[in-house]
Amino acid sequence: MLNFYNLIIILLNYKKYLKVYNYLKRVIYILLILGFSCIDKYAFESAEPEGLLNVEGHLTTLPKQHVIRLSRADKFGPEFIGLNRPITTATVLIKDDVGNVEQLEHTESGLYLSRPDFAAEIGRRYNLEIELIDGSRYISSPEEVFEVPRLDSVTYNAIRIPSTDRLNDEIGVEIVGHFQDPEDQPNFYFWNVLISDYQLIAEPENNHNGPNHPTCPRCPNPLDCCRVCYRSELPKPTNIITTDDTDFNGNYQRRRIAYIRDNGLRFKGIYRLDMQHLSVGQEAHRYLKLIGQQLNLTGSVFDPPPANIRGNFINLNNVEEQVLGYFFVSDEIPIRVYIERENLEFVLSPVTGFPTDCRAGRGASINPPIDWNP
Amino acid sequence: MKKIFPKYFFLAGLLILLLACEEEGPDDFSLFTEEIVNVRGDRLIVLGRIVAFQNTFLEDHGFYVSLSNDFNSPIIISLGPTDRPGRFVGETTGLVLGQKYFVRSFVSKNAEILFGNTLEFETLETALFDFTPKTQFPGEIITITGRNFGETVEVFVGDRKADVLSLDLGFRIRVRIPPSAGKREETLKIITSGKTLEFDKPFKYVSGTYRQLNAAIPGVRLVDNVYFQQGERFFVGLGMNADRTPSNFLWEYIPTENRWLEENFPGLTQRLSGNSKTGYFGGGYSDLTNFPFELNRDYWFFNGETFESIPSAPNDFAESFGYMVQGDFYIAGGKVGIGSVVYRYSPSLGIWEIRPNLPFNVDKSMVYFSNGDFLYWIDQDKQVIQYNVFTAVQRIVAEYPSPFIDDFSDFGGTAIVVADKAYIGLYNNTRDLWELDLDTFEWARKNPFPGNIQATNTGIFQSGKKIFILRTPLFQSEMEFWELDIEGFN
Repeated sequence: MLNFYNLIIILLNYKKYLKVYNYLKRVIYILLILGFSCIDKYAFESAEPEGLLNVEGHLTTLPKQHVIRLSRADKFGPEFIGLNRPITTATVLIKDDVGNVEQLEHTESGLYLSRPDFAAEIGRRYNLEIELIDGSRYISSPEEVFEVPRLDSVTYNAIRIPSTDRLNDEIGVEIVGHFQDPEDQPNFYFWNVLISDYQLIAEPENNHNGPNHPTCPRCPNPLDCCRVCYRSELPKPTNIITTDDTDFNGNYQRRRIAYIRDNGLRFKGIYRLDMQHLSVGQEAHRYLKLIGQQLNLTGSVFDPPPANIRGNFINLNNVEEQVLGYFFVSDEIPIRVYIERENLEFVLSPVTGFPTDCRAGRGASINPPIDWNP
Repeated sequence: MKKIFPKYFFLAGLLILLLACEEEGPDDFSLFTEEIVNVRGDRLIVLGRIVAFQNTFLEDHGFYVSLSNDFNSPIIISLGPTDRPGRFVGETTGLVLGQKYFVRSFVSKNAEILFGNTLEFETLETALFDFTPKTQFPGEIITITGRNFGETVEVFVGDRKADVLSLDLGFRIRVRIPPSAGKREETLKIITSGKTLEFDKPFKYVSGTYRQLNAAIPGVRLVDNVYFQQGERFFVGLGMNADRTPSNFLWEYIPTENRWLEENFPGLTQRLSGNSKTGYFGGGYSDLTNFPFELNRDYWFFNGETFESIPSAPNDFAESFGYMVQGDFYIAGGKVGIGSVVYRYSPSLGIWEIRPNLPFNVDKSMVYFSNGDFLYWIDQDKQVIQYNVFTAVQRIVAEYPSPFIDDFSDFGGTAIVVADKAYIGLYNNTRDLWELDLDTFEWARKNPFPGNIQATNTGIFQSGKKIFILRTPLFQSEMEFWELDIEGFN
C-alpha cells in the first residue's frame, strides 16, 4: 500500500519514475498492435455451384466403340467435400450436320458407349447433346473433322533431361513422328497416349522371405517362377502434346509426339506404347494447350496463372452454367510402337529390381495381351 | 521550407489520385450472332453474344429467324429482359424442312430494337432409315429410325393410322401396329412436317397357319430317333419309344393317303445317332437302358428304295451333328470323345476323312442346320454361329430372339431350311417359331405354335411353302403331326 512516506520519495525522484512510465507505455502500445494483428480465419464460400457437369471423351474417324464419360465434378479443397459421382441416367446423343443421330448406351459408372462400328466422317460437323433426368439439356458447339496428315514413320530414342535432382538426370524415351505438314491449310495436331502394356521383368531368384516369416525371416528364398509378366498402365508423365503448324506450315516434321519417363521398370523388357495421331480444330487445340499448360505448372514465377478454362458446352436451359470438358472430333491414325531395350542407347541405371515373382506386381499377368506381337 | 514541402507533396498526391479515378465508360455494347450451334429438320439452336464493359439493362433480347434476308414476318425467339453482357442461346422449332433461313440476334433498349450480324443456315431434309421388327403382330410395337423428323409425325400402315407412342429426339418413332385389313404385307408411310415418306420394303403382319393332320403312327411315341426327307418323301424311325422300348422300324409318310407306312430296316436300333436329315445317318447307341450305353458304329444311307450300309466312321460318335454339304456327309462333335472333331464321308469315294475341328464343342441338344457351304448352329448363349466347312472360318451372324431358360427352354428346338430362309424354334416348353433370312440374317416372327408344348420334336419336313412337324407329347398316347403354311394368314 502506498503510504505518505512513499509518496514523498516518488515526488523527490519523479524524473526517475517518469522514465519507467514512458517505457511501460511503449510496451502497452506494442502489445496492443500485436493483439490486433492476429490472423482471423476467413470463412470462404465458393461462388460456383456444387456438382458441375463434367464431360470427357472425343469421337474419331476410327470405327470402334467410342466412349463419353459423364460425372459431377465436386469441389476440391483442403477439406474432403465429396466424390466425383458418375451420371448414369442421361440421354447422350452424337449428331452430325445432316441429322444422323447416334444414341450412346450407358454401361457402367457414367460411361456411355456408341455402337462398336461407329465412326466420324472427315468433313462432317458433330455435336454432343446431353439430356439429364431433371430435364437439363446441354449441347456442344459443332466440331468439324479435318483430315490428319499421314505419318510416314514413328521412331524412338532414349533422352536424358536435367532434373531437380542435381546428381541424377531424368532418363526417358522420346517418341518421334515423321510426317509432311500440308501447306494449303492450317493444321492442329494432338497426340493422345492410351493405356499401354509392358513386360514387367522380375528377379524371382533374388526372392527373400518376408519379415514375419515364422522360421526364417528375410532369408533368401529363390523362386522358380515367374520372370516375365505383362501389365498395363497409362504412360507417365501425363503430358498433353498438341501443336499447330504456324511455325512449320508446309515443312516436313520430325517432332516429339510422346515422352515416357524411365522409372527403372518400364524399359527392362519390351514396352508397347499405344497412342493416337489426331487432328483437332482450332478451338479444341486452344483448349488442350491451356489444359496442358495448367497440368505443367511447377510453381515458378514463370508459370502462367491458374485459369478457369471454358469448354464448348452450353446449357440450353441456363446459359450461365459452367460445364467442364470439351467435346472434339478428330481424324485418327492409331500408333503402336514396341520399344525394345536393346534399341535404346541408354536406360535408367541401375534398373529397379523386382526381387520376387513378377505376378506379385499389381495388375501383372504372365499371359501377354492377345495381340502382343513385338 | 520544412513545413512547406509536405503540404505541396500532399496536394500533388491528392491531384494525382483525383486524376487517376476511372471514368465511367460509355453506355454502349456490341451485339453478335455468334454461331449456329445445331440445325435439325425443323429445329434451330443459335448462339448470340452481348459484348459490353458494364451491365446494361435491355428490355428484351433474342433472335429473329426468317426465310428472307430482310426478315419479313420473322419467327422471334424472345429471351426476355437482361442486364448482363455475355452469351445467350436461342432455340426454336417448327421450321420448314429443307429451307434456307436467315437468323440475327436482337436487343431492345429504350424501345429501340438493335440487331446483330446475320447468319444463314439451311434446315435438313427428313429421311427414313429402317424399321424393326419387319414383322409384327397387330397391337405390338415397331421402331422406325430416320433423321430430322419434325415435331409432329403420323404413321400409316397401309391406309390405317398407327398409334405413335413416342418420337425420340427427332430420329426414332415407336408405333403400335393397327389391326390388319386382311393383307399380310402393307406399305409403311410417315408424314412429318408436311412431307410424306414411304419405306421401300413392306411391313409384314405375322403369318403362319397351323393345321393338325390326323396321321399318327399307331402305338408309337418316338424319341431320340432319326428322320430324313428325300424329295417329297418323309421318313422317321429308329430311336426308341417314350416308354424306353426299342424302335427298330422306320415309317414313311404317304401324303395322298395321309398315313405313315412302316418300312423295313435291316440294322439294329440306333438311338441319338448322327442324322444328316437327307438319308445318311449312323453312330449313336445301340441299347437303351444299361449305362454306359453301348455304341452303335453302323452307318446307313437310304437310296430311295433300300438301306445301304456304308463304312463306319473312324471315330465313335453319339449325340453328334450330322449334315450334308455339297453331297458329302459330315458327322461332328457329340458327347463321346472330343466334342469338336469332324469327319467327312465322300459317297463317290466311299471313304471317311478327318476335317478341321469345329471351333467349339457341339452336340445334338443344340439346334443346327446346313445351307450352301455353311453349317449353322445355335449355342447355349443363343448365338447363331455360321461355319464354313471348307475354310473353317466361323462368325456369329445373329442371336436367337426368344429367351432361353436354363434346362427348360434352351434345348429340344428344331430347324429346317426352306429356300433362303431357315425356320427355327419350338424349343422345349415354348411356342415360338422364327424365320431367319439367310442373306440378311434378320429375324421374322411366325405365329406361335397352337398345340401341346409339353412335347419333343420328332421330325421336321418341308414341301413347297409348307412345313410338317411331327411331335411326341409327354403325356399323350399318340404323336401329333402338324402342317404349317408359312405364308398362311388369317
